[in-house]
Parts: sequence; structure tokens; C-alpha cells
Amino acid sequence: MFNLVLKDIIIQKKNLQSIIFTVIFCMFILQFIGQTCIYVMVPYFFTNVFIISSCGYGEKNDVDRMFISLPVNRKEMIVSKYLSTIIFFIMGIAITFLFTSIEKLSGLSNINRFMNLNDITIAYIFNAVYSSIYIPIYLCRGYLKSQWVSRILNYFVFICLVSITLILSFVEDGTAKESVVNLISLPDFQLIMFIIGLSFSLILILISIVISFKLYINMDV
Amino acid sequence: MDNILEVRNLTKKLQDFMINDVNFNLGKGQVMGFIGPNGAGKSTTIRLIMNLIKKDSGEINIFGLDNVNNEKEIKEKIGFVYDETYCYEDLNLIDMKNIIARFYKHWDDEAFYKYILEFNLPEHKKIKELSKGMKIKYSLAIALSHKAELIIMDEPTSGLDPVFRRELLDIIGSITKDKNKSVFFSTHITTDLEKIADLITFINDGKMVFSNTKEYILKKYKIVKGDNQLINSSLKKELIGVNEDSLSFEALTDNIEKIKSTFGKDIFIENASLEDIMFYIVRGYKNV
Repeated sequence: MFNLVLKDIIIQKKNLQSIIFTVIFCMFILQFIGQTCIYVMVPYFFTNVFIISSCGYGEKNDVDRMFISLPVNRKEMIVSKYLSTIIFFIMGIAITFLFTSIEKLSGLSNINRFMNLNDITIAYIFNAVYSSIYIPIYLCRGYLKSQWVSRILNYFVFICLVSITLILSFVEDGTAKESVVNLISLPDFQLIMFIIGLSFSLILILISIVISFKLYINMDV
Repeated sequence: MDNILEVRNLTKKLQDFMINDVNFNLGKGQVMGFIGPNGAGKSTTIRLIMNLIKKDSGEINIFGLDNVNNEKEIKEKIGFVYDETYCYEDLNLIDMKNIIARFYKHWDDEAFYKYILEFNLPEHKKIKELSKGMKIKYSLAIALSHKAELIIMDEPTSGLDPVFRRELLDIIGSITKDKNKSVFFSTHITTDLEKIADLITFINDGKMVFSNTKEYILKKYKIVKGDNQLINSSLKKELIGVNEDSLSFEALTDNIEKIKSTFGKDIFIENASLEDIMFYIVRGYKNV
């Protein structure tokens, strides 16, 4: 199964350079909306681009037929897709953390804080929502037919992320409503959010894996 | 002889086609030619064997194990060559090999490079830059580099020029010198099998016509020729796919002894090639 994850990473080799340049460019633009926006959106879109590219590249070359003919079972193929998503997310976090830290320390941008657990949790919840819906549809309907779902999910996530980013920005600069500030200032708010977010993501992914098993295991390739 | 591959009462219904009650056995060290016209169900049967599609009923045992329940274990010992490579076309031969090799416990890099050299393949070329023949050779190099005991090939010679085809058949011939390796080879180009196959399984319109040794089949089926005035209902019963003109007829028969005893020297008898057998049987089937 880890070979399948590794394969998903290796095939991105040719895209890696352009994706990293795009990420840096996005970071530069997004800092004007709010720094939370960078910390949440960049890892989300980084993961998203890698999942889409891995699925699209696979379908373009019709490689599923070859991989199912190797000593791999379909359950492993399904779970590996979700694992790849997590790996891409970790890579996205690492790259965002690295570049934003360089920007902050160099003093060349508006960024005045480091990435925190809140940013990672929010980004991960959206990634979990995206992959939990997208992967079963991709496995069942293929890359081309799953693109409209991907687009709708991205619009949805973008609107949610911008809303959350704005709320957090208002909280940071002190212009948010008192009730929101009070909620966020509750003791252990970050910890509670982290636990709820992680549990929600985990349940969503588990449900999605079960649906993918039902759809893909008996599917004719 | 131990059977490497056993297919029993295999049935699969697709949208507008059905594989219906297919049965055959392939023994250790044997080469089976799986023949039939285009659209007969050869690729579907191979996809069922490889568990790419799910059977409706029947049994497929490979190395004595069920092909679904023991999928991983079985596939360790299967090398496959499809009519296309189904690889990441932008990768070069080595990068793609590196991805595939990790999946096999018994991958032999030395063997792989030996075949790359033997097949004259350009290691650092992208897969998309290879000709069809080279892609098939690359698939074959992969299939032979993990100590596979069963090589499954789906129409590997279709679309290849005669020189490449001959070369590929020579390679397959050399594989079969290793008596531990069995080959299951689907093709509609029956001449490919005249030299290398031990067994022939013929499938037409999803149904199995026969599965037996090549010698038995070539002995059983004969071409008969004669004056068309000889054709009567009792002769017709013994003929398959009759080809008639105003003076004479030509047909296939699987009961040469009866024809010989009834018509004696009035009828000419010739050996049938696998192509003749396939042609007349398919033709006879269509005329029914």
C-alpha cells in the first residue's frame, strides 16, 4: 500500500516545480486578504492540486488496469488514495510553514505571526471534506466526470475559508463582534476545536472509505 | 500434470455480450493459444482471470488457488502483457520499472536489465516515445523480471509488423524452454500459434468451441473439397461453414472418418490450419 502512496508522490515530480512556484505566488497575493488565509488556503489548494493531478494523470494513462494486475488488492488501492491525501497535506503544511516563516523573518511581507494549530485544523477539516466526497466519486465515475464535483467543492470550500479567514482577521485586529471574541477566548477553545475538527474529519474519512469500498471493490475496470 | 490455470463454468454478463460457460485447463510448462475472432470474448476472459472484472459464476483457480480470495499471492507469480502498456507515458523505462518493481517480493533487477539489453530497449526514453513493438517488449521485460510462473498475454502481436511479430514469437518460444513457465496467449492471428502452442482454446461469441491439444485439433478437423452435386443432407450434417460455388464446395469437417467411408475418393481431403478451423467455424456459426 505504501508503494501506491509513493507512486502518487513520484509521478508528481514533473509538476513539483510549477506547483511550488504557484504556491509562493499565492502566498504573496493571499497575504493581502489576511494571513490566516495563507495558512489555511495554501495547504488546502496544495493538497487539492496534487490529488487532482494524481487522479488525472492516472486516468489519462489508464494505469488502474495495470496496478490491479500487480500484487495489490483493491482495498489497498482505495486506502492508499486517502493516505496520499494526508501525505500531500503534510507536504503542503511544511511548504507553507517554511516559506511563510522565511517571509516573516525577512520582514518583507505583512505576515506577523507563525502558522498555528488552529490554521492546520481548519485546513485539514476542509481537506477531509474535499477528499471524502471527491475520492469515492472519482473511483466510481472517473476523473473527467468527477471534475464538476471537484469544482463545486472548491467553490464551497473557498467561500467557507474566506468567511472563516475574515472572522479570524476581525478577531486578530479587534473589530470582531464581542460574542465571537468571547467564544474564541473561551479557555481551551483551541484544544476543543482541534478535537472536534479532528474527530469530524476522521469520521467523515472513515464513512468515505466504506463508501469507496462498496463502490470500487466490485467494479469492472 | 499439475494445472496452473483452471477455468470452470465461467460466466459473465456484460451490457450487450456474455461469456457463457467457459472451461479450460492449462498445465505447468505449457503454452495455450486462446483464439477467436475480434469481439469473441478473449480480452473479457483475460480480464476475468486477472480479476479486473468480476465473474457472475464459475471458478477460476490459478496455482490451485481461487483468483479472487488469493489475489495478491497469485499475482506475485503472474506476468502480464496487455495489448497496451497502461503505464505513465511521461516516465522513462527505468522510472516506470522502479514504480512497478516495489510491488513484487521477488523482483530481479539483473534479469530486467538483461532483457532490456536483449530486447534492445532505450532505457532513458519516455514510454510514449516507444513504438508499439517496443512497448510490448518492455511489458514482456517487466513480466519476466519477477520470477513469474504464468505469463498472460492479451493480443500482444496485434498491430505489430511481421518482423516484430516474428521476433516476439521467438522470445515467447525461448520463455517456454523453462518448463516451470506456462504461457496463456490470446490472439486472433492464428498463424502465431502454429509453432509455439501446445494447447488451443477457441472461443466464439462468448462460448467455448473447443479446448484441446494442438495436435488433436489439427488431426480432428480437415478441409474437404468436392463436386457440389455430392452435397446432400447427410453430408451437410458433417460439414461446418460450407463454401459453395456453381461447381464445387469446400468446407470443414470434424468427422473425417465418416466422410471417407461414405464418399471415398470422390472427395478431396486436406489438412486444415488453425486459421481455416477458426474461419469455417465462425462462418458456420453465423450461417446457423
